[in-house]
Amino acid sequence: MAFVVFSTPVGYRLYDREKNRILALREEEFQALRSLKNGQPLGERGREIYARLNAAGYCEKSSIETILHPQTPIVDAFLSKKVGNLVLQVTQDCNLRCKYCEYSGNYYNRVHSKHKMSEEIALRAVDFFMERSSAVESPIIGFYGGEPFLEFGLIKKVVNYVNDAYADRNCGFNLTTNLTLLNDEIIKFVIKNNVHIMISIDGPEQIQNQNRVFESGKGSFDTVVEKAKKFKEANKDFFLKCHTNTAIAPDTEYEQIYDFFDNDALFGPLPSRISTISDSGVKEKAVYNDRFFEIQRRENFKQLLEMMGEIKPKSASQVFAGYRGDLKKTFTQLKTAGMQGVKVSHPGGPCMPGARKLFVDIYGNFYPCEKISEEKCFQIGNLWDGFDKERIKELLNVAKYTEDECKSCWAFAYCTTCAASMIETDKLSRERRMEKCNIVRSLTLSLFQDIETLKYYGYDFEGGTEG
Amino acid sequence: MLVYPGSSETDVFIRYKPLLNGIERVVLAGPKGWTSPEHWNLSPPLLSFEEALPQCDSVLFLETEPKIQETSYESKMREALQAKKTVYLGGSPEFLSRTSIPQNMVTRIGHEIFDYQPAIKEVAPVFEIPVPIIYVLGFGPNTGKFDVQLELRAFFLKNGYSVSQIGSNIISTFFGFPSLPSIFEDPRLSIRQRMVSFNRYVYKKYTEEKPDLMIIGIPGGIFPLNSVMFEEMGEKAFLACQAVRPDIAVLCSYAHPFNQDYINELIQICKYRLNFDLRYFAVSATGISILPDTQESEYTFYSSEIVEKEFLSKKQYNAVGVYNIMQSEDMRAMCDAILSELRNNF
Repeated sequence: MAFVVFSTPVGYRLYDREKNRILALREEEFQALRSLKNGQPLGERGREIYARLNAAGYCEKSSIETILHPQTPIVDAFLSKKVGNLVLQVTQDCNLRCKYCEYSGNYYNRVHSKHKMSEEIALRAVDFFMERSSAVESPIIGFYGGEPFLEFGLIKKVVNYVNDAYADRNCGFNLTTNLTLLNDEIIKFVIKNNVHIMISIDGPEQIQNQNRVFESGKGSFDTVVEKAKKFKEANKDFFLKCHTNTAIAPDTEYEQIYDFFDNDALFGPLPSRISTISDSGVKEKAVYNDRFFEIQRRENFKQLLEMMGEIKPKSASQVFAGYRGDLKKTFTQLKTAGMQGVKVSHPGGPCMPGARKLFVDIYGNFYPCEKISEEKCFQIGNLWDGFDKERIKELLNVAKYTEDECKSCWAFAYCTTCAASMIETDKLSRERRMEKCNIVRSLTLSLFQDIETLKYYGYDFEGGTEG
Repeated sequence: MLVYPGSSETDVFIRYKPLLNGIERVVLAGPKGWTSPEHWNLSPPLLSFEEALPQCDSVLFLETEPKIQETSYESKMREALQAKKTVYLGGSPEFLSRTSIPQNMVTRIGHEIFDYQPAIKEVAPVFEIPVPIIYVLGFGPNTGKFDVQLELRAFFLKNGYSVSQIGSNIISTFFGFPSLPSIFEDPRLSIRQRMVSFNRYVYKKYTEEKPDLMIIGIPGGIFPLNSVMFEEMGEKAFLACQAVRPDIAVLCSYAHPFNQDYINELIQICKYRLNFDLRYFAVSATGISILPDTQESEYTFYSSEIVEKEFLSKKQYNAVGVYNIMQSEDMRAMCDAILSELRNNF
């Protein structure tokens, strides 16, 4: 039976996967269902409660018999026309030596090197991508590193080639950079070609210089600020469309980071994306202390207060405004049909490898995205042989590793675990997937609790969508 | 005629070439990197605009999914006009006004305005159309409605029947029949007046052409697909079915799994909302899904073989026949069944 009962500040609730609905419960109903979930025998009253819910279609036996992603038979349709995002690894080199970087040596099969992508491979990858993105309105080409601007010459060639040969195709470009190599020529080029820039910066000077250092060990904060100011002077409107990308290392002054991105005159106005250090393919996981999670809960709670009008607008940290988006997305998903009667399905989480994003390394090998470590076993093809469709189908169906657990999991449709979260050295690991399960369920339950609380206090999720 | 861009939506020009009216040959062109679907069997495959232009007398520009940049359309329209080609434009009328191309140099293709005279009263009877009416409706765009309309047209013409037809697609005009006028969007008319106006339009066409039957394609969908996909409200289908009740209706669907319960529910909806008994269910080669991040709908185009294998394991659900729009044998079977039903009704 794929359901969960939970308490909220405003009462008890049942979430039923088969119906994809949250139902309010009286306390005795909550206790009865909790006993049922815990495998305890029900008394007569408990059996009555269960029978009544069952008659209304709740707490039914799970209908899923087979874990198979519904897009498995139509992989061809996606890979032939719907490859939406190409990411070119233009270099494995970088002028910084950030201590948590995926190329720092703390991740499997990824270290800094001087190797770079050739023009031949880059343009071949572009042609491959463009021929397989005809059903995509705005194909996106991204540049990745190391530090991509070390290969600015190649980036220019690719952008100019696309603008010339594929002028009809409405192509967009993006790039993540540490900003330290920015100069007038680069600024002029990215503005002229509308290259969307994501700036990697960790926060105020002390925090930035802790981890984001040059090869010499010197901190990069002053250089980044100098370059950002130059960029802003060149074109303020364009600069304000840049995003910041921040990796929070454990045991740092978290509140200083959030305060920086809320209030800094230069970086504060930019949309920010803050995440923990990736544990995909990592040798030694970063461990965050309780303070990190306390602050997160507190700031998310302030988002709720602001949504309910209990505190002034903009009182809550803008850094955590993304939580509102998560709430609205979950609310919308709760309006869709449940799993009732569905016999074959796959948990949420995996995208279509190679179609949603195609990561091409410097040698022309394909990977599902930049988060997956560059082990041969995760390759999904290359420029000469094309897509390895069998490997793609395997990565699409990663829940096969935990088939029995997934079939009965109430968070099936809300799962966010994909292959990137399952990497153990050079293979996918069932144990790594299972480690994520509790986190996913806990996060989903938090969202459910907050949605129910907001609804109880009159928050209008529907009205909020029509600005 | 050159059709730009060539896509799954415009491939009817290739697959129904014999039905084209006054056009010897159609060439499809597309942006670099676009490829033609396998079922086109095109030789050569999709051309570039520059390669195709010298081969044609006229050029038709259409809006398709995915959209192409307006600047690209504009530059190609100029190129075509400079080469003294006749230029047709289907789609958004606002686009032309955003360019500096004189409007009188381009022939607009769109849904005509139908002015019913005298002015419709609020309370007016609907006229009965005394020939069989076949509707083709669907769940939304890209459900193969126009393909089915052309299949029906070809079939009945071949069997010696005279057909009066109104198309759901603005490109109907190239196949010898008009597209549905913009009656249902006419802001001058109330809901009742729109219904009666549509009835009068069909009746007028009947009296002028005196056909053996009429085939009418209804654009859009028949209801919102779910609480998130609300692009198609089904208002045109509803109003049309009240104004002119169909004798036969083909319901065109996206490609997705379904079962007897699903078909049963559709039967109820068609009967009580749209006034017809569902007996013909045609499945297109288009899948639809909701993008989780944006909640927008997204189409995926499949091959006929995938549709057959994954979604059409069963072709009969009690009285409802299920047909693969991309398979000529299935379309032939559907047309035969419709003809047989019409013959047995009289």
